[in-house]
Amino acid sequence: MTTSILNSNGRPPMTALSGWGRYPISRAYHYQVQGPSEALRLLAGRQGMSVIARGAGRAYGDAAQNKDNLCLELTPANRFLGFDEKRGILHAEAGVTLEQIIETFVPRGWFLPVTPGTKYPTLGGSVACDVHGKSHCQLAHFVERVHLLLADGSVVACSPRERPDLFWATMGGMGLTGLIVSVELRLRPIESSYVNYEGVKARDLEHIFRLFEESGEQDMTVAWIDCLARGRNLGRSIMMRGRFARKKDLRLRAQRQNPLAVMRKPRITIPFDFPEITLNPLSMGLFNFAYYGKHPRQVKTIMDYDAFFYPLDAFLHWNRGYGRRGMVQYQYLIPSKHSFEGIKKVLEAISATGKASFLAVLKKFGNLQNKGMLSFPMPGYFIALDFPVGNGGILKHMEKWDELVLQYGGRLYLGKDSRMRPDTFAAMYPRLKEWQAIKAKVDPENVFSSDLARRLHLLPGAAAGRKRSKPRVKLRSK
Amino acid sequence: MKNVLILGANSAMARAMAREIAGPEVQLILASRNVQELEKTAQDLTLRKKSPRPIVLAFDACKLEQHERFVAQVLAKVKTLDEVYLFFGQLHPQEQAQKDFQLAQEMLVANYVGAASILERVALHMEEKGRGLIVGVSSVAGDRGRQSNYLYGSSKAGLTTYLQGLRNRLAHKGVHVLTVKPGFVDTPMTHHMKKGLLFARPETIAAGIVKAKRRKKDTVYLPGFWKWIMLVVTSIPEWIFKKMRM
Ligand SMILES: NC(=O)c1ccc[n+]([C@@H]2O[C@H](COP(=O)([O-])OP(=O)(O)OC[C@H]3O[C@@H](n4cnc5c(N)ncnc54)[C@H](OP(=O)(O)O)[C@@H]3O)[C@@H](O)[C@H]2O)c1
Repeated sequence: MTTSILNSNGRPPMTALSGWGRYPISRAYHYQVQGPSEALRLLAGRQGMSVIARGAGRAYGDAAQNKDNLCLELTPANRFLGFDEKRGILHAEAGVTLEQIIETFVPRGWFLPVTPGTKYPTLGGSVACDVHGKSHCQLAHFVERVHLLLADGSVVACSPRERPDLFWATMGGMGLTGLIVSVELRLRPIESSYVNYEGVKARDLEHIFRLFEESGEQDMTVAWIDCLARGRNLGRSIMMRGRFARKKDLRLRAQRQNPLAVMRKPRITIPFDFPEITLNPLSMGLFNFAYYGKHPRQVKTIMDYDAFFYPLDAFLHWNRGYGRRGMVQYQYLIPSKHSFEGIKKVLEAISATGKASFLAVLKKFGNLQNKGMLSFPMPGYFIALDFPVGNGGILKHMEKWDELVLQYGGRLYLGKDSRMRPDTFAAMYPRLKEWQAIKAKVDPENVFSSDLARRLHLLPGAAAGRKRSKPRVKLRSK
Repeated sequence: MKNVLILGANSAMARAMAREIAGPEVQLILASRNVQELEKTAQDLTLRKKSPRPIVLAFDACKLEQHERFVAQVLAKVKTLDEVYLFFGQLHPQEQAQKDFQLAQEMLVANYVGAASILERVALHMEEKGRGLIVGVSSVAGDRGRQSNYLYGSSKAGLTTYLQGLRNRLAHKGVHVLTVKPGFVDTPMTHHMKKGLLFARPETIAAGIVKAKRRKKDTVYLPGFWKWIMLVVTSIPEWIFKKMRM
């Protein structure tokens, strides 16, 4: 059966789509795809249009949007295809969410090797963004193999050993090398689903950096920075540090009886758009708890994985907390050498605008060697802050911050980006040319494309044809 | 152990249904044309639901001559069938089917003749056992013929009436028949349509079927509001209806 893409009366079924930030919005032909055979059918019937895969729509920006073209949502393709109990290797279709992996494999003593701060993304989307989290590491490190549907309709497997070029172009490749059909992922063994948690208050940025340096590579760490603190207090924060608890660490009876419990908690839905002030429910809560309440200098406790890794997931649609016009998250990374200075300088610039969010999240990458050409992680520190888009004024400020980040050899994360300029991007990701060479080989006609790809001139040859305006960033800094 | 046969198990709704049904105490038999896809679903259910490995069988609703053997094949593997779900179906857009009757025929055969053919065989078995449940997925499209999809609609109307009669016959034998009439559902079948607020997710339909089953319903519209929409659609006098463009 052939799938007709245009509907009967010739009026195409377009849907308005956006990422988690709800900015920007564009319309595309949006399909729910059950699996690879159907994806192939749609690819064959695309009638000259380009294609991008979409997962749970959890990337903040325009990564999974494809204006006037095809957007194949793979959340229905969500089957577990195999599990090697001995080595902990899970083979799953791309549309499986991290939550589904947790719910099925935590009771068997396995957890995600790396997880972002939400459990709702799909596995395919996580690989395409090469996500990271509190564990100083990138997801790609644990990906044994991916199965890709290429532009020519063939499905190929690639891993660090088979087709390594394609593999490393795909890790963090934003779905542009091909459609990720399934992933073989190495899970990590756990004795319990609880975390030995330690919360430590830090006076300022220097203090919090010291706490990070003191923590071992095994510790999972994140710091919530109070952005209202300025001057001497800049960087006032709470370090949240944890390790998975052993069985013998558990004290409460309920925990000991079911050490590998799956948490199913009631969630609070943010029912409507808040007025445009910078706030998210967690920031409010944590903030009060920490500063206006009595957070002791140090707390130690046992916490369940959900509270530790996914505090914001308790609020469904918390992105509505930023108003109708959506939000942008600014996530910048400064390599080890200048981390402290760079993080500080940019943070100062951000707070000087008076637009800073209440809270920023600071994390660290350990000694990793990232072979992913467009993948974000490199040794250093990175920080993320949310901003309501409002009237768009904030976007101008961001271009100035970009410049600072570049000065320190830093970069921004594609999974969160919705506004970077192509020249900025090219400067931040020096391996772009290498990536483009591979892209040209596997997808010479740019069948796979997205709003993000076009905005950042990722596609080989695409930038050349376009008139290059002078980088506005430069002009402005005078 | 409960033995449950799903016909057309590759359908999006059937896949959602299988996740609802599967569990350590349920032996599933998944049947459809594409066996390769069925194997993946079987693997998933084993891992996700700790269900015994589902039995996978090739089944084509249009190959009527094979149906008797198919049921025998199933009964050779599991002694009794406790529940049978019929999900398979085909939809070709009306204008295409109007131009090419081959397509119309395919729908009529798969959705109606094929369904009746396989369920008659199942009915004989359940009648003999004196218990069982048959869930047939028809459609709101069968409630009234409309210019925009009467070829598909009439195949579903046939199925609806067939299920009604079957229910009447089997009610005397301890076998229950549930007719499901989904509205618009976002699945491959509706890929060519413009999606609007009326579209439901396959998981919603599956959850609705579980509920209707528990309540021993005879016919259920899913989601429930379609009952009211169809009440309006079917109560418009024919002399007005025929002039409308629907
Ligand atoms: N989607 C809607 O809006 C909607 C609304 C009302 C009613 N329905 C009905 O609900 C049921 C499920 O629909 P869906 O939307 O989930 O459909 P779907 O995802 O398009 O799946 C239909 C399935 O039917 C199977 N099939 C088709 N012809 C067959 C044949 N001759 N023999 C065996 N299997 C056959 C196919 O199996 P293979 O993949 O193995 O070929 C296919 O997977 C159908 O009966 C449909 O008519 C759908």
